[in-house]
Amino acid sequence: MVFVNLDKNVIVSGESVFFKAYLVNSNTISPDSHSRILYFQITDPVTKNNLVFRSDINKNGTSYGEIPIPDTLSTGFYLLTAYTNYMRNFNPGQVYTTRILVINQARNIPDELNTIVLTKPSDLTFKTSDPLISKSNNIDISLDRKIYGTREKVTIGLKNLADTLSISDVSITVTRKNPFDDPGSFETNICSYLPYIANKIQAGKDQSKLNPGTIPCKYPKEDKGYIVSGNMIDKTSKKPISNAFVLLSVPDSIANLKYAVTDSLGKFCFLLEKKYNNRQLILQPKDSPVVVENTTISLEEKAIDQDKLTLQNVILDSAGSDFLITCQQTAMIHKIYASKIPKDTLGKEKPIQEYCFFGKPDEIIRPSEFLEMPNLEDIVANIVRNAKYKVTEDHSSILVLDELSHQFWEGNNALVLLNTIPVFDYGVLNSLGSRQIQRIELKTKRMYYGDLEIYGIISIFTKENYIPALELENQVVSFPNEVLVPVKSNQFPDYSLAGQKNSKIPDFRQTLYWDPEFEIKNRTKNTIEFYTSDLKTSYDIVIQGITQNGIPLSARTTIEVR
Amino acid sequence: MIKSVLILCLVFSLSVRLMGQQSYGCENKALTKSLEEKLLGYAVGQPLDEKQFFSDDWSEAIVTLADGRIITGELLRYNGFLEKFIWLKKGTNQQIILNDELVVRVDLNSGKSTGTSNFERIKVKRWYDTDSVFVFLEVLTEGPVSLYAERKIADSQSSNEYFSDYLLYIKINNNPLSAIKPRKRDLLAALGTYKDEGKLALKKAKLSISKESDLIRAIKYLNKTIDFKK
Repeated sequence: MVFVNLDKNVIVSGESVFFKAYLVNSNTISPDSHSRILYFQITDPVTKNNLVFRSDINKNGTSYGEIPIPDTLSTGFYLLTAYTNYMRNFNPGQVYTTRILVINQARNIPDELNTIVLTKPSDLTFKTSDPLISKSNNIDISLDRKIYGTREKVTIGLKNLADTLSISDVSITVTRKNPFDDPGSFETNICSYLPYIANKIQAGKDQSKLNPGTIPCKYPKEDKGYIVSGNMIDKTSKKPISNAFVLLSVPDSIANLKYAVTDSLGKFCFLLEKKYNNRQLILQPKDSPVVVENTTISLEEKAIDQDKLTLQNVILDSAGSDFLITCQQTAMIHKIYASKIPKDTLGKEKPIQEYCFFGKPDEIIRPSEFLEMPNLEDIVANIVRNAKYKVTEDHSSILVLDELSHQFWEGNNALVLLNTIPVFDYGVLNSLGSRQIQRIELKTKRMYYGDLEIYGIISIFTKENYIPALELENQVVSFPNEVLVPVKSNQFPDYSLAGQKNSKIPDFRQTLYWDPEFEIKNRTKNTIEFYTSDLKTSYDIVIQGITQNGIPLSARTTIEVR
Repeated sequence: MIKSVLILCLVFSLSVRLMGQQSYGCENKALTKSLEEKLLGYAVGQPLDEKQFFSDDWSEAIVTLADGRIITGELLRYNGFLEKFIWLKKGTNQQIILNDELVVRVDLNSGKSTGTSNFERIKVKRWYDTDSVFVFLEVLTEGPVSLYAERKIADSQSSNEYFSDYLLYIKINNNPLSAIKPRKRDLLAALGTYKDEGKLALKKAKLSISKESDLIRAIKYLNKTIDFKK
């Protein structure tokens, strides 16, 4: 099961919402990292359109970062769900759901809003014997005072009352109090949410023990990384294509090729390690252009259905309307100056060393070292002695000389990579001449890459990072493998620095502080410090977290800025 | 007749249930196979001469690559003549020379009787080579003091016969490998600053060294008795 703490639940479009997610084992209520990928889905309750975001889960079963809210979203309540791929088998049982209110930055505030009615559990009883588990406010928050001036320092002391033995990992937000917030809501309090869901899951497991075979297994656990899956079908007959090779490549300086074989339903899947994060990936069938032209690849979306949403129309009162308008205005001011505020990018991981999938080339040819030639046919014929390239109007072939038999593999084309992307329409390569080609790498061996038989490799790198025209429409799928970056927060101003406090730059931050991973240690003083902004209003301090021993922690209090 | 109809119904309902289960992604073996890492190698035209191998049988292997990826379940055998691992494509006779550029370790599971043989790809400087080269060394014992064997098969050019040979290498802590012969004085010399402690320990345990197995036993004993961290 998963619980999510957000830095705020009212967001102006074009801004980001920061999150901290806790993946928790439902048996032990302790941190769980068996799934490595977490999904966030923002659903428009009216159109049912979904936006899906992906985040990596750390080894300690948590994830943090920021979800960008597109500036195209209109004002209204949206459903935010968080889930792992495996949890999709148990929707809605294990899927975390909460409401967020998005305010469109440019449009007028409407008079009424559609709100989503979340079903509140009628019975919040827990099996656990520890009375502290069900208690909220099991973190003591000590404030130096309750009322502060603008740009003034706030010091908060924290003490874990529930578990004095283990270290606690909490996320802390200090954000503007909003009239739409329900402090007693079940899904925004980890102390109510986790034990209740755990009991519900356990009850479900007991039920499935009585009826074995009922545990669904449609969506596998992503315990090693992100699984991208899809289907390959015949364009004309719409029938699945089975036993076909699907190739996955990345435009890069190092050739990195993966393949999958489709099953009887035309389904394929790839496991993507972290090195593929936030890179453009290309999927294509491995075959001749004739066959390729008649195939379509489609990718599976990791979205979940939210068809059964109950909506309620709420007429905005003046307090609500004023709140939304000030949010809009302050966000606009903030946006003007936001570019000057750097992000706290702690948690960046070391770059992963990459290796070429086919090892070292047997031969490297640089056409610039020879007389200039206008096309690839001339280049191969004159300076690439271990290859043969033939282009005719209706048929093209490219062969490599086997270094063992010293013969060309007639009838078996080499695997051609253009800037590390496989190309099967060899005719398009002929336009490349000495001026375009930087180098040609050759592998003159018949190779096996798993079940993929390769009759030599010709890897062409061009001087400009030219990606082969993926004009073959649907047969080639190119997608950005986007993953949320583990950003901790925006950097907060420090008004203790000389000149900062009296600076003319307006500071209308609505979130005064956000820390997604604060450790409350025992026997040490746990304090946080931050500065108030120019916005005079009430702020909620909300803390949610979990101890190493699996005890949920939460606390909430309010401060005033006048 | 009724009995056979009932059996048919039972078989049909069972097969329908199984088909239903197969439609789920995580039950699908073809898809699970796609998620596995793949080996890379170069096809051999003809099966290699059996005399080039130390073992008669193909073993299930765990291959660890430099980038941390692990490939399991493929059939491998070490070819002492080529000093390469040969991969047998399952269900075929196709032999493939494993591309070892990215391989750092190979663990062969030779079955219950012989256990596991572990190989590491390490750079060594052999007396007959001008430069250091990467070779697969069999890990004989691992610890602060590790012992490795380079197993080779060579052919006699005059008689077309094959014969086997080996070289032993010792590594203490993270120091470079050095060649060693299965002799007590060679082991003590290799121990360097731990020589006196080693001498005393071997004397106390009355361990003599005249062959490979003696050297393995002695090193295992020294790893237990001497603190090589100090």
